[in-house]
Amino acid sequence: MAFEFELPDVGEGVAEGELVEWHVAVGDHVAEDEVLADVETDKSIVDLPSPVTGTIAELHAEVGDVVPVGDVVVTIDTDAEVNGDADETTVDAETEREGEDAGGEDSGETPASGGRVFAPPHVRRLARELGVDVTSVAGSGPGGRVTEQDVRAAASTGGSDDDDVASAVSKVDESDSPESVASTASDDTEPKAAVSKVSDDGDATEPESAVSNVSDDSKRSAVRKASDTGEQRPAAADREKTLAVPATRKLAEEEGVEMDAVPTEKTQDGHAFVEPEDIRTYAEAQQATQQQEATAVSETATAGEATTEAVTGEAAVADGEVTREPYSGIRRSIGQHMEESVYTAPHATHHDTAVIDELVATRAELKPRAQQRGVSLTYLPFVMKAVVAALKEFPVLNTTLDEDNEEVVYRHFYNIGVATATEAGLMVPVVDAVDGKSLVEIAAETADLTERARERDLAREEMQGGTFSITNFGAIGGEYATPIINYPETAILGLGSIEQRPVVSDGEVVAAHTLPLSLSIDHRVIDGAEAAGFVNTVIEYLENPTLLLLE
Amino acid sequence: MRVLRDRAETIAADNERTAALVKQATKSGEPALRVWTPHQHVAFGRRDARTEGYDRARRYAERHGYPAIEREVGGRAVAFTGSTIAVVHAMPDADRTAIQSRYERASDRLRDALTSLGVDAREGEPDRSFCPGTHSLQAGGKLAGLAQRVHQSVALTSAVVLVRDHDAVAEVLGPVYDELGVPFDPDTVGSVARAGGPTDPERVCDALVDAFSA
Repeated sequence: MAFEFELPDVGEGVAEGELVEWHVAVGDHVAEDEVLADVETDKSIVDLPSPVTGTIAELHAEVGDVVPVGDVVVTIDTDAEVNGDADETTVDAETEREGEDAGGEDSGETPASGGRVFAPPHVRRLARELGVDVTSVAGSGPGGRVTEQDVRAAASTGGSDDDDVASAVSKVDESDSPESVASTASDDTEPKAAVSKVSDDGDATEPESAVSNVSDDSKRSAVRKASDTGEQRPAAADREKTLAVPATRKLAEEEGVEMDAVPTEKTQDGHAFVEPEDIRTYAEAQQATQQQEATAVSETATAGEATTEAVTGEAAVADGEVTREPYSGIRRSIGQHMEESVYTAPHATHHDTAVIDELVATRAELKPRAQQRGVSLTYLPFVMKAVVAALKEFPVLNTTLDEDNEEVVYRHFYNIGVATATEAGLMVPVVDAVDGKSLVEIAAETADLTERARERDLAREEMQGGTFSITNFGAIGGEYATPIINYPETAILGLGSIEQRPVVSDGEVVAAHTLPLSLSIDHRVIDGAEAAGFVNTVIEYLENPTLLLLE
Repeated sequence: MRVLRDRAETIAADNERTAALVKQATKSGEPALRVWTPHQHVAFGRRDARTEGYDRARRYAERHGYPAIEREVGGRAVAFTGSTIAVVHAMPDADRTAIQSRYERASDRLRDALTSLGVDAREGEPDRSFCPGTHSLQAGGKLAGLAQRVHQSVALTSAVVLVRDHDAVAEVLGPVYDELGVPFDPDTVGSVARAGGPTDPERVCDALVDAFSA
C-alpha cells in the first residue's frame, strides 16, 4: 500500500519547513522511526522519522524546497501489503461502509471503487433487483468479472436472500471500526460478505470458502458460462452524446476508452452521465477480455510461443488467468520519465558502426597497467573520452531546451550520465567533468558509481547534473537500439556489443571488431546532419585511439 | 543536570565532546548543559552549505584564521572568536513540537543571566543581523541568538552569546555573508561589553550556567 507521508506539524505555529537534507533515496528500504529527512524551520532543524516500514517510492520535494505542513513529502510503499490481508479487508470494509452510509440507490456500486469487484452496471442493477450483494458473488467472467449469470446463480442458491444482505449491511452500518466489520463479516454465518473481499486477489484469504458457498449447480453454470466466451465481451454502450466532467474525460483518454461506449445508468439533463468509476469498471473489463483473448490466441498458436507476460510469469498461475503487479515506486518513476521524454522530445535515431581493432589492441595493452592501479579498464572510458571530444566539436548535443524562455542552453561542461541496470530499475549516475579526467580516473569513478547504483547506495546528487548520457545495452547483447533521451538532455548514445563482425576492407570481407552506435537526438534542437557529424567524430576517435591522447 | 564547562584541545575534539554529552543525556534521560568558549571558528548552517558562494565563504573564513565547520543546529553562519560563548542545552525525551516554548524558556534564561550582569536585553534583533531569527536578544546590537536541533529522542537548544568581540565578529562575517548572498549589516553586531556588561567570558559563563540550571 502506498503511504503518503505529509509534512507533520513540526512545531506549534509553524506552517512550513525547508527541506535541508534527504537521508533516503527512491528504492531505499526504511524502518519505522528511521530518519527520512531533516527539515529546517525557524532556525530549528528537525528530524523527520518514518511513520511506517516500507520502501521509498517517491520523494516529492527537493533539498531547498519549502514545504507547507500537510503537503506530501514522500510516498512509501509499506511492507504491510506483502502479508497484509488484514489491511485489504479493512480498506474494503471501509469502502463498503462509506457506500452504505451514503445511502441512495447507487450504493450497490460503491465497492467497485475499491477495485475489488468488476461488474458492469447492468450486472450491478440486476444484483440489486435480485437482492444479491454483488461483492459477494464469485465472478466467472474474464479477470474475475461478475456476469449476469453469476448473479442469477447466486440469487438461486438459497443462501442469499434479502434478509441476509440486509443483516450484513446493518452490521456494517453499526460498526465504527473497520476491523470489527471485517471480523463480523467473516465470523458471520452468512459468509458471502467476507468472500466478496477476496474476489480479485484470491490469495488473500481462503478461496475455498467462496466456492463452498456456491452450490455445485451454480459452479457448473459458472464454468459453462466461462467457456461461452462470445458473451464475455464487456457490454459496450453506443451513444451519440455523453456528459462528464473534464477529469472524467481525461481519465477516459488515459484509459483509451471511448466515452460514448461506457455503460452508465446515470443521467443528467436527459443525457447519459459518466463518472470516473464507470470508466474504470469498463476499462478493466475490456482489459480482462483482451488479455483473455490474447491468451486464447497464443494458446491455439504454436506451443511455446510467447504468451502475454502475465500469463507466462509464474508456473503456479493457471492457464487463462492474468496476474497484476503494481505500477508504482521506481518502476513508475522510470515510466513517467520515459513518457515525458518521448512525448516531449521528438526522437530521431542515427545508427553507425565503428571498426575498433586498434582500440581493442590499445585497451588490451593498457588493461594490465590499469589493473596495477586497482582499476578495471573497460571500453566505456574510451567512449566517454571520444564523446567529450565530439561534444566539443558539436556543442549542440550538449544542450538542453529551455522551453519557457525559448532558448537552447549550451552547457560548457561535460558531465556524462551512464545508464545502469539495477535490480530496482534503471539508474543514471553521472560522472562529472569528464573532460578534465584521465582514462584511469574516469574508469575508477564510473566503476564506483555504477557499482553503488546497483547497491542502491547513490546520493540523489550523483544522478543529477548530467549533460549527455550513454547507455551500454551491448553489455547484455544486441547491436542497435533506439535509446530514449535522458530528458531534459537532448542526446543519448547507445553502445551495442563489441564483437567481430564482417567488414569490407580493401575490397575484401574480413572479420573485425566493431562497435555499433545508436545515437538518439531531440530533433527539435539537433539536426540529422549534426547527429551524423557527431557520430562520425566519435568513430574517428574510437578508430584512432591515439587521437584520445590529445584530449 | 550534567554541566560541562571546559573546552577540548581541538575543534574536532570539542565537537566530539558536545556529541558525547548529548549522547549521554539521551541514554540517561538526564538533561545536560554545556557552556563554554569554543576555539576560534565559523560555524556554517546547513542552508549556507547549499549556497553558490559557500566554498568561497569557507575559504575566506579559513584564510582569516576561522576554520569552517558545518553545524547541526539551524540558522546561518556564526563566528566564534575565542571569547564568544556557546551554550548547548540537551533535553532528552522532549516534546518534538514544543519548539516555540523551548525558545521562550531559553530566551528567558538568557535574559535572566544578562540582567544579573547588569545588561538590560530585550527580545528581537536589528534588521540584517547575523544568523537572523525570531528569538534573538539585543541591547545596542544583537548580542545573543538561539537555534535548535530536534532529534527523535533529544532536543538541543543552542545559544551564541557575544561577550566583547562584536568588532571581530562583524569583520569576519561581513565578507562571509556577502559570499553567501545573505543580507548582513556589520553595525548590527552587539556584545555584552558593548551593552555595558562585563568583558570577562568566565563571568558571563557563570551567569549562564546559573540561569540555565535554575
